[in-house]
Amino acid sequence: MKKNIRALQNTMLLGGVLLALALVYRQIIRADALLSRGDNPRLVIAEQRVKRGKIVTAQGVPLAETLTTPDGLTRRHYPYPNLATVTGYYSLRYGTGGLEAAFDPILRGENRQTWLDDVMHRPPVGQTITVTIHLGAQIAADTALARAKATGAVVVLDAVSGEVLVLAGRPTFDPNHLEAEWDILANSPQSPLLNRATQGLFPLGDMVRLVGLIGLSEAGTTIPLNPLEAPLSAMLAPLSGQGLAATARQLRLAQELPFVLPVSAGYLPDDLPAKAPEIAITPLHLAVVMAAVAQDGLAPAPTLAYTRPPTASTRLRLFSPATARRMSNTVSEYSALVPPEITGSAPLSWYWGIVRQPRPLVVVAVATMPGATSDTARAMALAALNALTD
Amino acid sequence: MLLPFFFIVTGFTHLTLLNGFRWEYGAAVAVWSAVFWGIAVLLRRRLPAVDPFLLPLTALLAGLGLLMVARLAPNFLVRQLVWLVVSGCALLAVTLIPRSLAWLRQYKYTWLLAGLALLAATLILGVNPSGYGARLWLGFGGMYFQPSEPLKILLVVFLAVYLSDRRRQMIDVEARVGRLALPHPAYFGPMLLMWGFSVLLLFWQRDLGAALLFFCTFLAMLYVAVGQKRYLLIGGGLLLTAVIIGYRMFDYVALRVESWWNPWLDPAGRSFQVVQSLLAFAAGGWFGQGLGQGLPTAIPVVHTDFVFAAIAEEYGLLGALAVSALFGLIIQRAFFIALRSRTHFQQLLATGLGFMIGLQVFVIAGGALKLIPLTGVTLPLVSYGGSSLLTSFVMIGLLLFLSTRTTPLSRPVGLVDPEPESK
Repeated sequence: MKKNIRALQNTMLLGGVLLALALVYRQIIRADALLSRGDNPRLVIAEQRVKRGKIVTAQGVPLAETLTTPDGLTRRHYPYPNLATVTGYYSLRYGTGGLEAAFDPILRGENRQTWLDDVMHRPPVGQTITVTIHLGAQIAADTALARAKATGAVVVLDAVSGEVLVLAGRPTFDPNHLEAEWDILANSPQSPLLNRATQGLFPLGDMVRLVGLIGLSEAGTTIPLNPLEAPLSAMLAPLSGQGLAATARQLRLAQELPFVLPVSAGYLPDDLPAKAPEIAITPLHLAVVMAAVAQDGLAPAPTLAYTRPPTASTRLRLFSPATARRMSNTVSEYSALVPPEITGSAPLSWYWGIVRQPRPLVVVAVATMPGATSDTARAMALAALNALTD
Repeated sequence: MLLPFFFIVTGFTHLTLLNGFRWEYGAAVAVWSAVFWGIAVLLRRRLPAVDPFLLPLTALLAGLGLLMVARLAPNFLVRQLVWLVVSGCALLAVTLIPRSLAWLRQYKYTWLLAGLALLAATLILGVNPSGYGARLWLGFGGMYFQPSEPLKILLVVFLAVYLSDRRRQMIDVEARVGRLALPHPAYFGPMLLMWGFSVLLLFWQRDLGAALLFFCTFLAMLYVAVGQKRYLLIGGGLLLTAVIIGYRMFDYVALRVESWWNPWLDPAGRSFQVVQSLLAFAAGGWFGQGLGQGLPTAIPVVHTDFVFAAIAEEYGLLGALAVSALFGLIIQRAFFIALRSRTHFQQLLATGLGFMIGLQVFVIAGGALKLIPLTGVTLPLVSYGGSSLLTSFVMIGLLLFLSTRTTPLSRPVGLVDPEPESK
């Protein structure tokens, strides 16, 4: 019988070896493939424990912050929910958007964890991002857009440094309630998730006159006596279709701006100059191009945060200093109303202006809504500028 | 005994640092220390020849069990402490009362029938403390008891008595069915009847884990007693047939087999438990997440059936291997005792107990690792559950008792100082 007992003992030893091999297989060999599965609750919990960095204004006012619950989990909070065009959103379920996406690795504190942090299970602590936004002006611009129930945007840009002081856009969303409202937001015909300031393409209408002026000046053609009052077609006449298209290319209207947030490239219709009013660009794009007027033809690289973005960019020469001088002598602000025939819906009001004191600023406003006039956008731009100087 | 003590104290200190002090933690260390120091002192005085390894191994694993209950299901810690005291007393009773084994042996049919009666009672009065799942428990006054647990011991004792009494007759071939040679049915019958009744009852109850344990233990003990491989072949064939029939006829068997064969088909539904268990193993890595730092609580009923996965996540591969090795040592001691036992009954009993513990570890750890289909059994000494703890302790108690009835090995090669024999 002892022989049988020993045989059984050996069988059990074999079972033990089998168990050990299975442990090695599951815990070491297959571990990484298993852990990366989307249904691993550890990923969500780890994400919830990350103490994400704040997004603050230069004055230290938080625009996005992470609140910690007593059980160590975290929740993203946006004290100014109307600033979604600046902050973007952070959601466990839907990921990140806007600045939250652009600076995600810095906000998450990636690559700052030491081995000791890992061993001690200390949650990663992210770094703070400071934005260039002027809170008062931003709120004033957003309020003006909201009151008018307009679809549009207001952008204020420092013409020298490229710092974006206002980046307002409507319709927008409340990032605090993103998860609850995601389906509505994603399917809404008004596309509130689209950032109108950086991604909204608005037809220039009569605003294309500014592009034409730059083109005429760059071509050395005589500029009409009253370039702002002459009929658009007459003013653009000296420029051929090719000439206007070349100017548009020179101003990089059909290219994406280098910017920290996602941007849209402009739209150039084929039939130029007949369809010149249908050239469509984003408000930020117009602001950057027209900032070159105040800077000897050099366009600044627009920045939204003092933290250096992953791709640094430099100032860009768009036209000659002579053209810049000629332009600034001719025009310092311009309003235009794009009729429904071009927009396809409600009329659209444009405004562009340059402020030289106390520092060179360029402001662009655009608003489309029933009953919009050529002054609608100007009023919004002035609301932002007034808040800036208060 | 110092090593287990330091392990437990360190563990609860760690939990205190993590969760803040709770009086239950202090109580756990105090009760654990009192129970095991008490047993150790009493055994040393009354039975100096007792196996010196079994008690520290038991203490370490039971301590780990308390830590895991405190970490996974802290509300159950006090209840588990009460069971630890009860189990400790039962272990002492079995070890120190020399008549206890004779009693079990003398009234083997009565004991087994009583056990089966309790088991049958769960068919009518059975409850499940968690409110759902197989109703395998009998409840009274807020405490729950699972009759299939003590039935394990009763069955091993019964088989040990029966096989040692009839061993000679069972080796003699007295009947032939075709080419198959079998002992006389009169010798075979009662045992098969008793065993078949137990397995059927468990199958009826949907307690597949216990049914598997009983079946395999029966086969193993039969093999040890008779030493004929044909029984193993027949048994293996029967097991396979049972699985196939169960798979075809019963949904709950089919579900277990399917979620084992391919859990990735329905990871959020039917295979949720297995998938979460595999994730816990993977999260453990080499060194584990640290006690209280992982997420084993994502596995449903982790504190009973999946405590091994929780250990693997928080103590890592090294911890899981260490726990497996501790069980390996217990089983090795059981076989060591069996090999040195004086009578066939004692040999069979020690072997049966060792095999039962080892198989149970293999079945639950293998199930959690997707090595074999998952069947709900507990990890002996470690899992939460009073009946399981009590049964494990009585088994250890029986092994301790048997260790005092052994002789030195006939040829103690390499054994410098064999343990003194107790009279």
